Amino acid sequence: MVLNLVINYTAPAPSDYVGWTPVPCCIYFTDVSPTAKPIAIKLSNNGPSGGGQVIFSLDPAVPGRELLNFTIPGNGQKAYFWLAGNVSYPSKNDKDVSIRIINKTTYALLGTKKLMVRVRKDANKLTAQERDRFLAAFGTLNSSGKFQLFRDMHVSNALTESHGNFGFLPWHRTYLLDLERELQLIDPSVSLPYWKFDVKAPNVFSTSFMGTPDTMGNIQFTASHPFRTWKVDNIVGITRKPKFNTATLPANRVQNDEVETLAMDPFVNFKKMESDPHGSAHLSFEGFISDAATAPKDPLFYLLHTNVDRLWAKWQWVMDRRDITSTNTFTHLGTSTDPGAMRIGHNLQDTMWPWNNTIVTPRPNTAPGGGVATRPDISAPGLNPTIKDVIDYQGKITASAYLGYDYDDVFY
Amino acid sequence: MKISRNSTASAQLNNISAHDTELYIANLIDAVKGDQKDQKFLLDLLKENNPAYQERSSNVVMRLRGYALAAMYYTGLPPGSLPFICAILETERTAYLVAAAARALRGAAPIKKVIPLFLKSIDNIRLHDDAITFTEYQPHWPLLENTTALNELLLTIQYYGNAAYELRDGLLFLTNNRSSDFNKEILKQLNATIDAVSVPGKTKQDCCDHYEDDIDFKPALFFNRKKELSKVIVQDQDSNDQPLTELLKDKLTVLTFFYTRCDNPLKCSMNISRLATLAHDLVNSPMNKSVNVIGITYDSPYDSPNQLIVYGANRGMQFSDTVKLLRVKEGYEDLKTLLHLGVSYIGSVVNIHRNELYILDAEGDVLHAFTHERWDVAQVKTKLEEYANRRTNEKKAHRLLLRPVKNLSKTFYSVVMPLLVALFPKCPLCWAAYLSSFGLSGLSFIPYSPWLYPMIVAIVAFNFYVIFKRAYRRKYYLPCILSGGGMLLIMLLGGLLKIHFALYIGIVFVLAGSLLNSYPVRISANALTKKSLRLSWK
Amino acid sequence: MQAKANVYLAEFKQKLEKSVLKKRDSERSAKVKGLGNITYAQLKSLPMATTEEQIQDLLQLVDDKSKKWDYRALALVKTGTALLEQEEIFDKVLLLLQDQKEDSRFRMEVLDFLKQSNFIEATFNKYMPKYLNVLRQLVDDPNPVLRDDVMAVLAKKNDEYVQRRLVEGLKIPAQALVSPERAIQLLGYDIHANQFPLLREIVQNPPNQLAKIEAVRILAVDPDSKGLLLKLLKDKNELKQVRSYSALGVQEFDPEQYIGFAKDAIKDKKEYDDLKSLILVSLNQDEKIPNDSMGKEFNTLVQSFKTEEVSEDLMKASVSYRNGLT
Repeated sequence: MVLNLVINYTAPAPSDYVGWTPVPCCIYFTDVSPTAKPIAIKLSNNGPSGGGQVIFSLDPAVPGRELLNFTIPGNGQKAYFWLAGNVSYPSKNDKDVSIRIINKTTYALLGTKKLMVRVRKDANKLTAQERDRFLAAFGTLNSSGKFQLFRDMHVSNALTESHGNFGFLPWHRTYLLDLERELQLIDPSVSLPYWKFDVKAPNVFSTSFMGTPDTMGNIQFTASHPFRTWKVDNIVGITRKPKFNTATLPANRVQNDEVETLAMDPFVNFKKMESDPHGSAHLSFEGFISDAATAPKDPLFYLLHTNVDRLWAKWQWVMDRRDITSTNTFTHLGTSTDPGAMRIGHNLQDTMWPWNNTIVTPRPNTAPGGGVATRPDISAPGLNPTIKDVIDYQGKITASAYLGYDYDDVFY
Repeated sequence: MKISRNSTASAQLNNISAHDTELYIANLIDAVKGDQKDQKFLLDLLKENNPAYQERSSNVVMRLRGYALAAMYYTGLPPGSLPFICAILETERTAYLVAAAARALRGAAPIKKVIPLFLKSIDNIRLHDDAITFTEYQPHWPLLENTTALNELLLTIQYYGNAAYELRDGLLFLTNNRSSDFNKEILKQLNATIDAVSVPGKTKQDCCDHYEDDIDFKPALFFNRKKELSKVIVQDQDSNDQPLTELLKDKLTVLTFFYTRCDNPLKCSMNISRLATLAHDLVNSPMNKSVNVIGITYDSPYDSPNQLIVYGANRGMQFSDTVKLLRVKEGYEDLKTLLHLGVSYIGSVVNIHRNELYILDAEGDVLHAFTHERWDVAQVKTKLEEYANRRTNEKKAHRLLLRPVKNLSKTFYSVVMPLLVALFPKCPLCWAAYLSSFGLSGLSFIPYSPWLYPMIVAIVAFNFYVIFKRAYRRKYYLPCILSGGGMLLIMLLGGLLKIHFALYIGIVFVLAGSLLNSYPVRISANALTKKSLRLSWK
Repeated sequence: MQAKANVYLAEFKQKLEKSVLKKRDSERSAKVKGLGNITYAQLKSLPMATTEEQIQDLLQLVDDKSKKWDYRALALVKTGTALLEQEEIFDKVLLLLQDQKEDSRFRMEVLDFLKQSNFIEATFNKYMPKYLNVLRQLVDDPNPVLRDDVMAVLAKKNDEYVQRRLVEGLKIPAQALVSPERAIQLLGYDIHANQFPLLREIVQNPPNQLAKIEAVRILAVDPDSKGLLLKLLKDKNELKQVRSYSALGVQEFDPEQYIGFAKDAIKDKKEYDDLKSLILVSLNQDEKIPNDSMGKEFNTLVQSFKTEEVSEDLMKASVSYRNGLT
C-alpha cells in the first residue's frame, strides 16, 4: 500500500511551492485491494521549528486549519482537499514545510511531503540565509549574461511601452515575474524581496545586502558578496548615492506612504503612483537608479519595483479590484484601436512588448528575450500575455490565472 | 578660415586625417558651404570608414557628419549622399544627425524615396529630441535661437508640400491621437505641415528618383578575394575555430556585421533579431542547409563566444552548423578591406558603423550588398532564391554542356593526349622552336607595319637555327627540311610576292617542323644516311 | 480560507479610512485658512493637487519668495504631474532652475522635481529640447553641487557637450568643472566617449588615488587595457580596490592568465583575503570555468580553509565555491 499526495493536481505539473492561494490537492492509495475499506487520516504540519506551515481545508471557502482529519477511500479512489500557505508561517528555507499523514486508527505514519511556502518578503526582514540565497542567484544570473536581457528590455527606446501610461503596473508585474522565474531556475527557493521605501530599511542598505556607497557613490560590499563581480552595460560596479540617511530614515522624496497610496482609487487615480511614491523613491538617490533609462543597472531597482507591485497587489486586495470587466480595476478595457484608447500596450486586451515579439512600429524595433519564462506547474500568464492576463494574479476569480507568487502581507 | 580655389585648398579637403582637430574639420566645412565644387569633401565626411574618424568619440563623429550634412543645405546634395540620409532617417536617434539630414534634403528638389521615411524618423526621434543649431559647430549654451530635429523634419515635409501628400494621414494621427507627446511649437508646426501637404496642385518634380548604390563599395577581384579570405580565421559562439573560406564552401551565405556593445537598438540589436527570423524561416524552406546565416562582430576583442551566445540567444537565434555568430581571430584587417566595411574605431571600440548585410557565394564573392539601406527578411529571402536558382541553372547548363565535352574528352584522353605528350617540348631548343613558330604565325596576321617584315625574317631565321641545331644533334633532318621549306614560302612567295596561300602553307610547314622537332625519336647511328627518314621508337 | 487574513484586512481598511479622513481634514483646513497660512507639516499632509484651483494656489506659494525654500519646494512637488499637461508650468519651473538668485537648495529641489517628472518619459520628452538647453547652460553654474547634478543628468544621456567639457577638464585641470574622479565616473556612462586612452594615462600618472581607482574601474571593460590590468593585478603594492577591479577585467579578457593568477594567489599566505574571496566568488559564478577545472591542488586548498585561519568572508566564499564542485 503506497500513499500518493499530489499538491495542486490541476496544475500542468506537480508543485512543491505554494503561496497563499489555496491549491487543490488529491490523496490516494495505490497497490491496494479494490475492496479495501476507507481509512481515517490526519494531515498536520511537522516541519522544523521556525519553518513554514500550511493550512488545510476541505472547502476553500471555509477557514483552513493547521491539521485536517478526514477519511479517504482505501480502494485507490482519490480524495480531495485544499491546501495553502499559513500566513503566519511563510517558509524561511527550501522545503522546510513537512506535511505528515498518519493513520488515525493505528497512528501509523503513512507518509510525509516536503513543501515550501514561498512568498515575496520584506527585504529588510529577510534572514541572512534568505538574503544570501537571493544574492547568490542574482549574482549568477548577472554573470551568465542573461541579466543583460532584462536591462535591454528597459532602455530608453522602449520606455513608452512601460511608463507614462496605464500599462506601467502590469508591464512591471510581468517583468518582475519573468526575472523571478529565471532566478528560480537557478535556485527554486528564491523569490524577489521588496524594499518598503516608506519606512526605514537599514538591513537593506548594508554591505551584506544592497551595499553602501563610498565617497564616489560606488557601492561597496562584503568581500564574499556575489555582487562584487556585478557588471552590466559595459560598466563594472554600481553607482548609487542616497539623499537620505538609509540607516534611520525612509526614502526622503516619497510623499505618499503605503496607506495614502492605497487610498488612490479607482485605477485611474491609483496609476498616478507612478509619479509618487514610485518616481520619488527612484529620485531619493543619485546614480543609476535615478534615471528611468539607467535604473535597471542597479539591483535595488528590482526591490523597489517589487514593492511597487506589492502596493498594487495590496490595493487590489483591499479595494477588491480583480474584476477585469470593471474600469475600477483597469481603466481602458479594450484594445488600442478602440475610440479613446490609450497607446498600444496600455489597454487591457493589448499584448505587452517584448514578450509579444512584435517589432513593427509603433512597437520598438527589437524584442529581446522571447516570451515570459515558464514554470512547469503554472500555466499563467503564458508566453505572450495581455494586460488582462496579469490582473488576477492570485487566481481569485479565475483559478488558472494564478501567477504563482504572493506577498507576505497581501493575503488571499 | 578661408579656402582658396587652389591645389593647397583641395589638398586640405582631401587629406583630413585622424590627427586633425574637430574644429579644423568644422572650419573646412564652413569654408566650403555654398560651393558645389567641394561636394565630394562633404560626401566623404558621411562615410563611416573615413580615416578621419579613427580614434574619435562617437559623439564627435556624429557631430562632424551632422555638420557636413547640414552644409549640404547650401551646397546641394552630392551624388551618393542619399543612402546615408535614408539610413539616418531610418535608424538614427541622435537629434543632431536627424536634424542635419532633414535640413540637407532641403538643399535639393524633393526626392520620392525619402518621403515614407519622414514619419519613421519622427517616431524614432520623438522621445530623443534636442535643442540644435548649425550656425556654429561648438555653440555657447543656452542657445538663444535653436531648431530641433522634429522641427527640421516638419519643415522639410512642408518644403516637399503636396509631393508628401501620402504622409497626411500619419500626421493627422499624430495631432489627433498623440498631441500630448508634442509641445506647443511642434504642434503648431505639425498643423502647418498638414496644411502644406494638403495643398492641391501639381506635384513637384523629382530630381533624383532612383536609389543610388553605395558608390564606395567595389568588390575585390576574384583572385585577390580568395587569397585574402583564406587568411581569415573565425571563432563561433561555441568556441570552434575555422577558416572563413571553409564555412563559405558549397553554400550561399548571408553575412551581416554587428557588435554587442552597440547602444542603438535600431541597428545591431534589430539586425540580429531579423537575422534570427531569417534563419528561422530558412529552416522550413528548400534552402535549409544550403545557406549560411552568419553575423560577424566588429568587436572581436570584447565579444567572446559567451557574449555572442547570450546576445544571439536573447534575440532568438537558434544556432546550428549554418547559423552562427562569429568573431574574427585572424585576418580581420583583410576582411575589413575586402568588404570595405563601413566602420571606424577608437582603439578596439567601434565609434560608428553602418548597417551592412552581404550575400556571398561559395567563393566569397559578393552577389548582393545591403549597405545603409534597410533590409528586411523578405527582401533577403527573395535574393537568396534568385541566386540559388541561378546556381541551379548554371549547374544544369554545365551538365548539358559537359555531355558532348565528356565524349570529346574520351577521344581527347585516348588519342590526342598521348600525341601532345609526345610532342611536348622537352628541351629549351624545342621551346624556342615552338615559340618562334607561334610568334611567327601570330605576326603574320598583324596589319602591315615597317618593322613587320624584318621581324618576320628574324623570327623565321631564329626558328630555323633552333631546329637545325637540334636536328644536327639528333641527326634527324626532316623537321629542318620542313621548317626551311616553310621559311622560303613565307619570305619569298608570301612576303615578297604576296601570295597569301603560300604564306599559310609556309606557316603550316614551320609549325609542323617545330612539332616534329619535339617528337621523341632515336635514330640509330647506323641509320644516319640521307635516306634514313624512317622513324623508329625507342 | 485564511481567517487571519480577514482580520488583517479589516484592520487595514480602518487605517485607510482614517488616512482618507485625515487628508480631507487637511484639505478643508487649508481651504479655510488659505494655503499660504498653513504650516509645512500641514502642507506635507495635503494630497497631490487634482484641480486647477489647487494647482494655481500651490504655484502661488512657489512664487512667494517670502516663504522658506523648503516650503516652496514642497508646494512645487504637490503640483504633481501638472507640468506634464501645462507647458506654462514647465516653462516657469525652468526659469526657477536657471535663476541664480534663488537659494541653491531650492534650485536643487526644482531639478529633482524635473528629474522625477522625466520618469514619465512619454509626456515629459516633448520638453526635452528646452530642458537640455538649460541643463547645458547650468554646466557652468557657480554652484558646484547643482553643476555636478546637472552634469550627471547629461552624462547619463551620453551628451556630447558634457563629455567634451569633462575630457577638457581632465586634460587641463584649470578647466575642470568637477573633480577628476567624478569626471571619470561620469564619462564611464558611455564607452564610446573615447576616454580609454586618457584613462590609461591617468592610471600611470594619477592626480589622486580616487581618480586612479575610478579609472581602473572604467578600464575593467576595455580589452585594449588587459595588459595594464594584469600588471596592476599582480602588483601587491597596488591599492586593494585597484587590484579588485583589475581582476574582473583580466578574468573577462585573459581567462588563462586569470586562472594562473588565481592558483598562485590562493596558495600565497601573504595575499589579501579580500582578493582571494573575490577570486572564489568570480570563479564560482563563471560558467566558462567550471570549479572542477581549477585542478586538484587549488580545490583541495580551498576545501582545507579553516575558520580560525581565514577571514569570515573568505570562509563564506570558500563554502559557496565548494558547493559548486561535483
